[in-house]
Amino acid sequence: MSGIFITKIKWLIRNPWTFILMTFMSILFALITGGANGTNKITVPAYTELNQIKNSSLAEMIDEKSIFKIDWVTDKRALEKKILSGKHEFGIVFNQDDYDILVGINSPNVVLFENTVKNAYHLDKQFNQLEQASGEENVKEIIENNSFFNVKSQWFHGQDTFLFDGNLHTLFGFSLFFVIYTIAYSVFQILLEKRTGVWDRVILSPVRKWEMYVANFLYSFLIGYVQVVIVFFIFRFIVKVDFHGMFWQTLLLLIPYVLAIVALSIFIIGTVNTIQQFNAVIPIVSVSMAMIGGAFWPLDIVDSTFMLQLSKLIPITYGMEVLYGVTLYGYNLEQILYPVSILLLMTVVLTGLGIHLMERNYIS
Amino acid sequence: MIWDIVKKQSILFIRNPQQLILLLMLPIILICILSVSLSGFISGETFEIDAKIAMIEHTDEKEQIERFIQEVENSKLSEVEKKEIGQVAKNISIVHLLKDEAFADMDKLIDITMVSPEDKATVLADDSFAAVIEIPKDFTYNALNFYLLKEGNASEMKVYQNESKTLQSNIVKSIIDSFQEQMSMMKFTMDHHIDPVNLEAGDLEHIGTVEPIGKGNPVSSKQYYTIGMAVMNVLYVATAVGVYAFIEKQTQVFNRVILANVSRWTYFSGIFVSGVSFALIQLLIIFGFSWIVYGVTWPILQFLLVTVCLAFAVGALSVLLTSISYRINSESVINFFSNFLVALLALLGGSFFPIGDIADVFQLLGDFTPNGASMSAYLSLLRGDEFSQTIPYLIYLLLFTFCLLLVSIFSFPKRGQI
Repeated sequence: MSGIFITKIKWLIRNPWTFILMTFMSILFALITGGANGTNKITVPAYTELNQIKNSSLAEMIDEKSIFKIDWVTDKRALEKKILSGKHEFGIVFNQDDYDILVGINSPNVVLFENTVKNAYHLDKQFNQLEQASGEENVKEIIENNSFFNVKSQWFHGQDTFLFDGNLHTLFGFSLFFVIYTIAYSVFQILLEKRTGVWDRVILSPVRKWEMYVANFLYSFLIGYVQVVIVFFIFRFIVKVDFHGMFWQTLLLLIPYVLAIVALSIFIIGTVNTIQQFNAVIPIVSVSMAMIGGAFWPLDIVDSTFMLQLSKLIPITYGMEVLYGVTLYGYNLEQILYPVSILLLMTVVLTGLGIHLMERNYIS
Repeated sequence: MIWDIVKKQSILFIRNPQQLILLLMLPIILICILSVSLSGFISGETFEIDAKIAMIEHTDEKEQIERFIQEVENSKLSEVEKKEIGQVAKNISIVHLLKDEAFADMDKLIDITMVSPEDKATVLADDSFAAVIEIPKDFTYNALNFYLLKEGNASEMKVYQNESKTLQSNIVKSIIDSFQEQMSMMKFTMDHHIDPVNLEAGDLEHIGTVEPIGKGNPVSSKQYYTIGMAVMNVLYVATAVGVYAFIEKQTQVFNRVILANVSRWTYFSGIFVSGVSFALIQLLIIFGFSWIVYGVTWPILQFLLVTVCLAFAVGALSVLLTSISYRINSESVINFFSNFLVALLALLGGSFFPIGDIADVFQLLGDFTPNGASMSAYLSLLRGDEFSQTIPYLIYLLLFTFCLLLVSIFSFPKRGQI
């Protein structure tokens, strides 16, 4: 068993590029989609001819209170170009007393943004009037520090007080997504070995069948786990993403997810016969799983019951639930146990089925 | 002769159903998933949030206000003050205002259930509620004391948010926050003895406009994703063509073609032409699907022009992948492209979401990817802009094709190098 395992490790050392690139990609994607700029805000290009608007509290208020961030551009044509190219959904032009929102792509964000802007105008006017009437300067701060009553928020299940963190979502989502490729392509070596006859030769050697499976399983698990650990380490210690003090627990709780993905890959290897089939199945399975399981967007914006039911069959859903639960919601052990046990159940069932299928299909 | 090579490539494709499944099923599956799971959310015009919230009130508010007024009556304040405070207190039933006015504004999408304090644990365990608002004992009473008599501290209400319904619960929270802000402003006018008229901002409902840019309609999210998935998946055609070409080198088919006195440049052109035609066919099938199922329609002539330009770019990509893999004698470059670069190009090109929303650098990069450029062109067509808007993108695509072809010709192994 250790022989097979060592061979695999040696092979990895000689061909490390797939592994390195996958790790790099998950870091890159998580950085691009949110981790890097520290916020998870939607940039809205904005233009105005009036300097007093640029310096007013209006834009500041929009930045502060919403998921939008005003980004001033120097001329109107540049603004239009940004929207026309489809790279921004919409933009805004502030005039003396009103505004125009220019829409390129219609989405709920437009409605959300319009409400935000209206609200900001409303508040801005109120604050101005109050400042004039009272003679005070920082009415906004005074009001914030002297509120009528306070509102404290908390999660349903968690003990922690309210936190929201978009960075963690993209980090978790892309790590869980890219690790599927790494694991799948490491399990894929079994298929290659079968085709090149190595698998048969190992069977002929005194190595037991279970040892072959255990060695392969361990190797695939290890490579996948090392990858997510590297990614998480980089984000924790270099990018300095806040794990809310649960970093080590997060690493521990990744184990069931990685196990489930190894099992899933074994199952896929069991069902396909050729390399081409495998190459066709993996992108379909991984991308659709990531979409259905909420790795790309949070599941609570999905309102189709069918899709939500479907997400219950997908390991990523539970992987995300565990990671979210432990970092943001402050779940206790009992609450974590449910998704963890489903992941372990998936591991057992899929490994069993996968090995059974692999034993039945003879590939030469 | 080129035709024969193309024919050979087509037969290879048809005999390999797995590859076809990947090329045709993947985009269609992805378009379906995107539109089914995000259908309510991305329908565009409306923003429908159906939220169910529960409210727990520990003591009845009316009783608290009456108690407060009673206590004021019995205090040592002057009669005028007593009367004034009593008047104001009657109008400040915070819980009532929150429940019947702040939430009622939201087009009745928020459904409030009153719950008795004993059932708190039950509602918190019920995932159908987006949020639970808990008003502690004597909340209004304490608030009135703080507000009118400057006694005690500000009272505090608790909002429990459901972590599996963050979107809805955040909206509920923001309504409460803005309600709190307005109430605090009122307190400010009271503290500074200002006329509350200053809080009226007038009618701001029609202060601004929301209008589509250009002349036509804005693009809906469904259309956006159809284009995004199509331009992303067409890149896989390049990898498929490249893979077959490389297998031909490995299995000596390429050498046999050369032996048959066919110029290597004929083979080269054959690869290019098959890349272009398969990309064209794939794009037409995907857009055909979205036309039949989702009713995404196009100005046909311009559409074909953009599609052809994109297909050219994909053809050039296939040739480039082929010639590099021939040169380094390994298909790793093709694998690298299909596993990493396609996803990266798709992200930068805006297939998943409008990339410029994040940062301008990415927008610039996105315009330089073939899929990003063609996506911009498609979007402009759907919006009904003048055709001149799309011309820079088309020129870019053709330029891209030309440069890639040049590089491929340069790196394609010459005689004796294989």
